[in-house]
Amino acid sequence: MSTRAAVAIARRRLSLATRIEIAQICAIGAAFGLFFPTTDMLATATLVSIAGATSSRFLRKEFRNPTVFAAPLYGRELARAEAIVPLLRTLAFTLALTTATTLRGHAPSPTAILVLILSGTVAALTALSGALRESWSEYLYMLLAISAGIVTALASGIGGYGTVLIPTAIAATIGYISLRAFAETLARYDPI
Amino acid sequence: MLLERNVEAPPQADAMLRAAEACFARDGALLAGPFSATLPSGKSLAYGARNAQEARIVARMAAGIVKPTTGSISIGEYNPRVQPVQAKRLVAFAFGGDAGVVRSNFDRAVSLHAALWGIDAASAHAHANLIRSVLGDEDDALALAVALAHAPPLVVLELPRAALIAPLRRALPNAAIFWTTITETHADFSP
Repeated sequence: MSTRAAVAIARRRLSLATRIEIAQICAIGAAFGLFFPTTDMLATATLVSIAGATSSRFLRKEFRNPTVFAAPLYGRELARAEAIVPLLRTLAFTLALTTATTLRGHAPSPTAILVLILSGTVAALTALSGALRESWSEYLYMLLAISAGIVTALASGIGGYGTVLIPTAIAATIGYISLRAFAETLARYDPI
Repeated sequence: MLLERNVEAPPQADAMLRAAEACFARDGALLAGPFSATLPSGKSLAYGARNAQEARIVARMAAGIVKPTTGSISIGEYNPRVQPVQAKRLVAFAFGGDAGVVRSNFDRAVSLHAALWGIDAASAHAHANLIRSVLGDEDDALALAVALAHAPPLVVLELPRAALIAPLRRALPNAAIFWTTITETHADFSP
């Protein structure tokens, strides 16, 4: 798939409504960082994971228009393109939160910021497949996504704060599997 | 139920769309079909559905977007289940709902289409504008012009306005055109 197609899909998904929603979620992250700057790493990672797990819910509405499914793209290509905006949303939330915490004089370490970004990324990727599912199945995916984000953050403790190797490896593994699963879901999906 | 068929086409190599007892079911309920047809280039074919849902599903099966549960669909020489990308390259699909294409975002929609289909943006704009000049500036005509930007040999329309068909046929004399509609005369003899 050309980068051109991926960028085109991401730009389409970044509609005005989505941009406003991203601004709102960033405001929530910033407010949390300002009012609770001393929250511990695990609680912050849980919050970032929740943001990641909810980042692809808007896709359900977007998929009502099946135009993108008419495009000559494989499931894996579509999955990569559709993952861009949820990842951007999660990254924006994480950066808003850490920036606000820094402004309150409790700047997190670069390692902590990286681990938070990894947690959010894993949660966002894991939740992607839930966007095509209904009710309890969707919530189960969100729960799984939040758990994956928390596990990634916990792994930074196992490896020590001096290293990000273990959380990176976990994030890469879960993220890759999740993206493959989303690609498979898209390839099998019948938009009726 | 086939409402319109310009020619009784025998199975032949140049058929753009071929369906054999294609059905779509979910949770044990038959939602669409069975649908059988052969549509060669330059011909038109309409499918009269029992309801809007069936019309949507049959159109999307013909466009390679929805996979039939039983039976088969071929687009050109490709099976959309096995070669979805090759099959979709041959189709222009006009969405029956609000495709979100209006005059103000027409050019942007064509650019998006060109990017998704990996074609030259200038030629996509030229072709879409040509179709637009024939079909007019209604929202559904604009969406159709966007869908046709890659000049495909098969056009699939989901519940189109009847007024779109004749000008579309004149604009694309060599294309195979398939559309779905809801027929009020459909008789259901099921127990």
